[in-house]
Amino acid sequence: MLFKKNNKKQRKVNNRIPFVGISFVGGFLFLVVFGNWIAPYDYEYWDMASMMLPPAWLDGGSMAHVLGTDALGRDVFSRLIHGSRFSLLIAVACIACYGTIGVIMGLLSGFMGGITDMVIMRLCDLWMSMPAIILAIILVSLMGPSALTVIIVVGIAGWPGYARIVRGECLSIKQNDFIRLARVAGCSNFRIMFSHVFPNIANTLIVLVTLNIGQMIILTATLSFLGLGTQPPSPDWGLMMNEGRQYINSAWWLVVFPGVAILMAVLGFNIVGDWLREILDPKQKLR
Amino acid sequence: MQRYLLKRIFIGFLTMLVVITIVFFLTRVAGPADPTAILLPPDATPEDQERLRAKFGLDKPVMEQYFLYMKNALQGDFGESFRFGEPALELVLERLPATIQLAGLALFLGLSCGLFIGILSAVYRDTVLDRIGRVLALIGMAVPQFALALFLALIFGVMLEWLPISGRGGISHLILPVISMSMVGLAAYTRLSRSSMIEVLNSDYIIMARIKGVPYYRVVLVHALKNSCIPVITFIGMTFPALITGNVVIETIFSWPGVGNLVMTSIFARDYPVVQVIVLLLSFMVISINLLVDITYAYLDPRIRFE
Amino acid sequence: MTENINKDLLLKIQGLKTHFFTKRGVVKAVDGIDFSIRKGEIVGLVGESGSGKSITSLSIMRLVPKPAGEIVEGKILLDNENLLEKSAEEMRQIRGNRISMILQDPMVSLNQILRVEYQIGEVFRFHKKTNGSLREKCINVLKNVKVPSPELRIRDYPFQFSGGMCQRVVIGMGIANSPELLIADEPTTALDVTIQSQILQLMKRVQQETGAAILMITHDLATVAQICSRVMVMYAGRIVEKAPVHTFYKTPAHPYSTGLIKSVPVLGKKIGRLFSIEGQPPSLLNPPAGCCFASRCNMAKEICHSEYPPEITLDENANHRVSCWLHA
Repeated sequence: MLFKKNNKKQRKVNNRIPFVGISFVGGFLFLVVFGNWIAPYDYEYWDMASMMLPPAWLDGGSMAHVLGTDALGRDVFSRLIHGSRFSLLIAVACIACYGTIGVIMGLLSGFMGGITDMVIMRLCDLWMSMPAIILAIILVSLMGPSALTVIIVVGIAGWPGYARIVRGECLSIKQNDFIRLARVAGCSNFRIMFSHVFPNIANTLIVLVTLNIGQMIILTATLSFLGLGTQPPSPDWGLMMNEGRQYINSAWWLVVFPGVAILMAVLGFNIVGDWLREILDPKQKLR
Repeated sequence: MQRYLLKRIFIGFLTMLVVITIVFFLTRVAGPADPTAILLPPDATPEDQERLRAKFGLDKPVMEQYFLYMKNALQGDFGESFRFGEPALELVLERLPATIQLAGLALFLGLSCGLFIGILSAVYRDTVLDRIGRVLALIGMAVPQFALALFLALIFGVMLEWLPISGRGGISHLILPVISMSMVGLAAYTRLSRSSMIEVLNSDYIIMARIKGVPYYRVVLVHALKNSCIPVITFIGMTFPALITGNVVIETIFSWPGVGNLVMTSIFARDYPVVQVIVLLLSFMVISINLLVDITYAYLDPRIRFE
Repeated sequence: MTENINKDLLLKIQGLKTHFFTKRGVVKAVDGIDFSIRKGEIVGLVGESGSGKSITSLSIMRLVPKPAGEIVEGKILLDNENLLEKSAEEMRQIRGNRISMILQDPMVSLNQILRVEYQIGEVFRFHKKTNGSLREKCINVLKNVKVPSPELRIRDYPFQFSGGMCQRVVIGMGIANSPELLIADEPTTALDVTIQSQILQLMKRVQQETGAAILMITHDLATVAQICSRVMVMYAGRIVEKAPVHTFYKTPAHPYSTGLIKSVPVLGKKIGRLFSIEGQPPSLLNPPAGCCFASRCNMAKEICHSEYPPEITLDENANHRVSCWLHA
């Protein structure tokens, strides 16, 4: 091929460490861990005397509430900080849920082959051709909206994507000699799957999870925004925007700050994910 | 090819049967409360409730309800809306044009702009233009649709008062919903078409075409465009469910009188017949879009056609 | 420099340098090469992968991958006109018309999803030489390169052709406009051995019919022996030896050439272990100061490591030249 040199050069350029992304993610994780000590108020603390205060730098704002307060006089800044934990926990729980199902299904499908493979793949096709999101909305509304239902619903809906990628990885790993060796050494299928195949797809999974956290933050925030997710008074960013929406004519800060928070968190995870993909997935199997 | 298509249509039909069944049982069996409880005034007698249940066929055993529903559904009768007393199908179809207008425009805008920016970005790779395109795409992927919609509404509707932020009317009513709905797709299509185009531009047949003395713009438009469109087309099918979600969000925010708006209000009002029709309609759309994608795919890539 | 004003002279390259500007530094893919090709001759350019052969050919076409690659110095004279001074449009007119090129792997050098007819037609469509219908011309192209039933195959897609047939199509496109120079970048490497000789025969025949000069890029000395009249050896971005084919095989002057010839197995001759040149070619990123081959050369002197050797003429016609201190 003619362009090897050029590609090599391109790869080098992209391998720069993304300081912006890492600092966003780092800041986000910092808030998740130390939020309780940083936030000036509890997220449920309300004070009708200081409701609808604008941010500190505007007329009528006070340094006591840097980013202003909402209709119940709750401190937006504190709620944003507490909200980081909600967002991350829900997103991670969702991914853990469908990631586990997806990985198991993918390993079974890729490793067993035959009928198991066919059944699982047909199931994937069926699953993916159903508008999973709409079913999710119905499910949430039936089970009653809460953080837990969001996790269950998204978890059930999202597994086929993981299953397909894991299956593809598994098929190519299966060709390697060390798998045959393990078989010769008398390892059981189960053992080969989890102690030989699984570690080899770990890199792929790390990239996939990082790229997915951003998407999950958006999806769960969207469900909360539609009133199908976490319920008041939790400081979920999507929910905050839903509550702030009715005051869009008078109190822009109720909408803008949570929006910016989501944007920065997702942007950070996306950038870091892209970067990890560059390092850990040189063959660009994941797009 | 024809056999393949027939097979796909058959599988699509089966999928819809499965969807209809799942939705039926989810709404009738897993549903926590009796929908008639919401519909009746608080002072209604148990007899009133029984009468209403009988009217909607809710007094029969679930399996019987199911078979009756399926039989009617095959004849195009999806029951009446609990809320409005009108046939559910008509109620949904009435709203459909508004949704198609919004979603269609958003898809078109996202796809055409995404392809355009992505291709420019790939052709003028590593230039300032490319950098700007990539940063915008990265940000576009990170903004949730509802946040973008609210931001745009805030800036152009509330602060500048240039555009209306609710309802359906002239072109001015379309601008904000369409833009905020198309942005995520636009970013995704930009990224995808850029990477796909770069891969294609690096292949030997592009060099070969240039060796033949074909002008560069023709090389890009004929050789590269067709090849790099293949993954983008596949992507449309894959992201169609996301488009539906986006549609629900945007219609809710901008009070757009479409199907997405209807499904939200119907869910909260437990108007199951309407929900069922909408879900069915959406899965029909997903299936037909995927079919359409497959046909386009075969048209673009002769290797599929001749298999 | 009286020999320059030679009427037979078709292509003359002087001090050509093509560099790639990467984040890690400048890769000197082609680092100052001179050579010329006469009208109608077949010249072999030999060297291992990464020695800059392909980049040399792309430089002549002015298709060095941008923005990393750039021709930094030198002249490429086609009939005494410097190609490096041509505008993009003039250059486009020359490509596929006066100079044409065949790439290594025929399966990837044709666009798999466009009909063969369209791809051949492009050769004619963008050069103002229109007489006769496009389809007829395309069929003629296939006839020329002996593709069976060209009237039918013209409607096919490249993936319906075998590798050898694809390469025939590519060669047909290459010679369609009777170019003065045809660059063949390892045209047989990706093919089966039996197909290889067929393709070489085809190229030889085509050369006789059209009178085009061919620059045959290869790493296979057998190919060179089969069809070339002169050979040039390229190593680490420079041409280290130029010689008529017979001289080259009989008395190779550069240690690298000697090594190359020794490493070719000869039928019926028992030599025990096949000879191989020890070591790796140097990185083009930071090439050593002196002769690039010095580190692998067992006859290297002190000066070899510190200074690049000049080009030394070995015979009275100045046909055999070598860049090596051993002959200084």
